[in-house]
Amino acid sequence: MPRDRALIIVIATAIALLLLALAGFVGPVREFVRMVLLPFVRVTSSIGSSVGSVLRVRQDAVAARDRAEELDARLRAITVDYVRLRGLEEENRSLRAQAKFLNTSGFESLGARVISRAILYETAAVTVDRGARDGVEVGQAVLTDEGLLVGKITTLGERTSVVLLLSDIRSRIAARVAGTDRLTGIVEGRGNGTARYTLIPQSIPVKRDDVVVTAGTEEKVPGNLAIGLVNDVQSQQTDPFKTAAVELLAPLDRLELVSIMIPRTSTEEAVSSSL
Amino acid sequence: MIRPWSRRLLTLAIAMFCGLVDATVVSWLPGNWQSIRWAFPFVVLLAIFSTRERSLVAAIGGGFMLDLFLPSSLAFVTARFMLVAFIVHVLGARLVSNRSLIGIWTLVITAFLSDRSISFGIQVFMRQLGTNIIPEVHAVFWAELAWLFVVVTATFIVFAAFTRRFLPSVYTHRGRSEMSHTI
Repeated sequence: MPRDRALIIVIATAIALLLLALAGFVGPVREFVRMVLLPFVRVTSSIGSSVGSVLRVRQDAVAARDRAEELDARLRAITVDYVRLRGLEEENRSLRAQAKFLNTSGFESLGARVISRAILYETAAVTVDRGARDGVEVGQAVLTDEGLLVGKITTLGERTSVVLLLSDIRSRIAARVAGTDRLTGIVEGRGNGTARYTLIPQSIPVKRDDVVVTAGTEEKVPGNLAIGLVNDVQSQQTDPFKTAAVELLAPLDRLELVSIMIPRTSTEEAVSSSL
Repeated sequence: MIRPWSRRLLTLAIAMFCGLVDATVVSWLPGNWQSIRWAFPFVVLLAIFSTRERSLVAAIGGGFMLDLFLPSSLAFVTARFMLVAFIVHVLGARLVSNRSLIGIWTLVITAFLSDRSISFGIQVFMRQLGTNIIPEVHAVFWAELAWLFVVVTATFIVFAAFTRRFLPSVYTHRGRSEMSHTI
């Protein structure tokens, strides 16, 4: 029967595609098409980001009003508060350390453009237009142009790669409070642009407005990169650890340009191989 | 007159463009605006109103672009779209009429539920294998379904108003052009 044969052909083709994709055989074809289409994709993604920002105006207005009210209340409560001064001082110190780090640590930043996104509810990931050919590796840190941590590279292509953002529920990053000198916990994504700082030993003092930075214990993620501010600490005497809500500093829902932290050796190798 | 191969290429080009728009433009939109996708409705439209072959060509073109540029890993959009196109077409050809609104709405619901079910099945399967995947994001259920309803219903109305597609053909004599029956 022709219809039965067609059914078998379609199902067999679909399964063959699945198996070929799983086995990695479609990789070269994908990379070739990516190479051809990347210039067009850069144009369409700029159009997409412009349209997205226009549609976000109303949402931004509501969010800005809520935020303004929250900040107003906060400001009244801690106008000349020692905690706030301390937080700003720590943040300043962290950024200074980061700036110094960029000059001395053997890392350099590689600019990349966001070309596609998957940001909704529990998922937060973006595709950027840099890949293995540019020296990018899985696990490398990605920052905003202000130096705030955005996430880590999780999937790598020749010319593109996927960044898992801090708010994705699969995201985990070793962290500490700025000003302390050891790993004190993990920042976990909670979806919807939020994150939580967990596994903090009870002996470590953590307060609202403390600055959370990377611990520097991960091979490709340098320390002292600003992640966020502690917002609300939850602690019970009977628990060995406490947790805290973290207000992420990077604007994850509107990233357009990012910087990937790559070791200087990777860049030099990539440049020499492309020559 | 457009030749069959040109039609296939045109369908492929349009589907690839729709996939590109979905991956690089629609993915930037906030919240439920992301339900305004192009590639999947295009595949569903062709599966309902056109030939199986063209809907499969559209599924391959649109799905490939989404697989290529969306951050979601292992979503297998191409294979999923192909299966959905085939299911809808078979259902439309054998059980449900595509000449009534109720019929096409049934096909739309079938397409939507098939797509979501296959997507969910793949995710569960990959998790069982221990692979940590980034799932494909979807706007809320009703928003995506409403968008599909709007697209398919509008197309149906346009066909009914401006073409002879849904009129009973009367016909008959060899050598004359086909005419629709009007009272």
